[in-house]
Amino acid sequence: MKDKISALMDGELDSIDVADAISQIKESEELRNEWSTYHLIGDVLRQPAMSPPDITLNIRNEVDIDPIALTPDIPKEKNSQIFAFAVAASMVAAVAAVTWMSGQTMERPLTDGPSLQAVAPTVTTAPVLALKEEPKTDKLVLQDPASIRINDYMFAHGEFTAIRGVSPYMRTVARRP
Amino acid sequence: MECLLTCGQLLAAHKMTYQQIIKNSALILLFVPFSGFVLPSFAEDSSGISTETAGGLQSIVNESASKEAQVWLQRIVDAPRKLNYTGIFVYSSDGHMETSRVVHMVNNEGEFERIEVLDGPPREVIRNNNEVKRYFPNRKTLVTEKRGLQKFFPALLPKPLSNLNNSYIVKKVGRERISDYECQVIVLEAKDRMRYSQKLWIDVATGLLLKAAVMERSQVVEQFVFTQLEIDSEIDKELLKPGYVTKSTEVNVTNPVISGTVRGELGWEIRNLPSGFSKVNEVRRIFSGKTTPVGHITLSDGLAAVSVFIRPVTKNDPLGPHESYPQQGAINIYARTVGKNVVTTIGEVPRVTVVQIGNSVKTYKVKWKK
Repeated sequence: MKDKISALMDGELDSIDVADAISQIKESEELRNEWSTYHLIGDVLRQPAMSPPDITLNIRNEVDIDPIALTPDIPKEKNSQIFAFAVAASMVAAVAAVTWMSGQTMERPLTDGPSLQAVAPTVTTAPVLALKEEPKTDKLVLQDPASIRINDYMFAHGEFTAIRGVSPYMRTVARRP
Repeated sequence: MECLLTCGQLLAAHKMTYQQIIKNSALILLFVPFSGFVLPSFAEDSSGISTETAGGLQSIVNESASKEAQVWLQRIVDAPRKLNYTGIFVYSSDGHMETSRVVHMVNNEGEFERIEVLDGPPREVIRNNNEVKRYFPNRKTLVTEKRGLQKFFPALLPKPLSNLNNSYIVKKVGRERISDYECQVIVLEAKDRMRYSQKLWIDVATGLLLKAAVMERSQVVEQFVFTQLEIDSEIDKELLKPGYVTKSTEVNVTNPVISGTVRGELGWEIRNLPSGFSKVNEVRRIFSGKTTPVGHITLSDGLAAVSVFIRPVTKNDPLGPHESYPQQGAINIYARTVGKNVVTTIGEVPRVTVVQIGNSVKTYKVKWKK
């Protein structure tokens, strides 16, 4: 049957066989998967732009996204450890480290507690600049303005989610105080 | 690097027929799984073509199943507008789990809901139709937000679930039991890497969504499931009141919509949209504590939505230290600066998608109308 599928795709079947092959493909999920896979393979092989893939954009994007600069809440030694690791490792490992660290960094500023102030003297000037941004009250100063902003954005965005799970606010609540 | 060599070898043989391909299947098996990883942009292109060529047959095969599945999807959207329910659900992503209690009531005055997070720092969301209050008792903070669009610009909201078949293969799978309710399982299989797949478990009797998993291929990115649920119960209104006495020092009203605009008025456009995505609308918003409007462009592929926020860097609202954000469950966020603006792209889509969209945001008229 596999031969038949590929012959079908190469246009080498007569009309009776074509009808037969198509009806078999309709019947069987396995054959449908074969069909998709062959197409994928064919498309891949026929790609004109195969010659050296340009990965610079991807690397640049990774560097852009890399959240290393904003970690006011993380103990210093932990931070530098991760940084050293990311730099030394290959691109694969760097991506993994960024992903892993992401969990660490987001967790902290978003949970309760005035830890930012306590750690403030050890961090770079960047967060200080950020603190000036929201001079409204003491309460708010304790929160990272970037995460306040992103909460606002997330909320505005939530209105457009088509299928909202248990509630449109499922994600708003989850880990986004 | 190994893979690149393989690519080169395959390139030489790019005129193979499918029969020849089968003979070389060992080589291909090695190649295909890697191609998506090392050559993301290239793999996107190829899968786009693949859906087009395979689309004809696929759509015949799936058409009737897909239509039926669409009816189920519509039931998910409609159910919360008609049903009372109380239950406990577990939300999980990135190895993190959180349990919440939900109370949902519908009467002739509208929809009312309270969600109370039961793990970690206490948090609550109380919703009365378009008004949403978020309570953070530990922080003594209450944030009030009003949903503007639904009330004032209903036409601006996306028509959910339209054009789904362009981007997903919609399949009715089978029946499974969740929290003692018999559920229909529907799978929305992404046709390319620019969106996630979704698996949905829908209560056969009421249409309520009892479990949902967002998947990237076979990996679960984010999931929620009811572990306990009572549908159509009598709701005690007391259950909808906040559990904490509010002595809030901080009350924020955020999210008023300034104006809906038509294409071009924000002076920003997104070229090179990933396939299946189209613009839903474009508005300006003012968020709490800010004075400068933020542009908000929304895109959708019928299921997944992506928002692009554009804010000018001003004296009162300077550039943040380095606005970068890690993935949050299915949500990816990508920020970059364009001239004197920060463009933040948010969506329940893979990172490659927010990055492509974010990098395609162009201005053709930087000056902002106040």
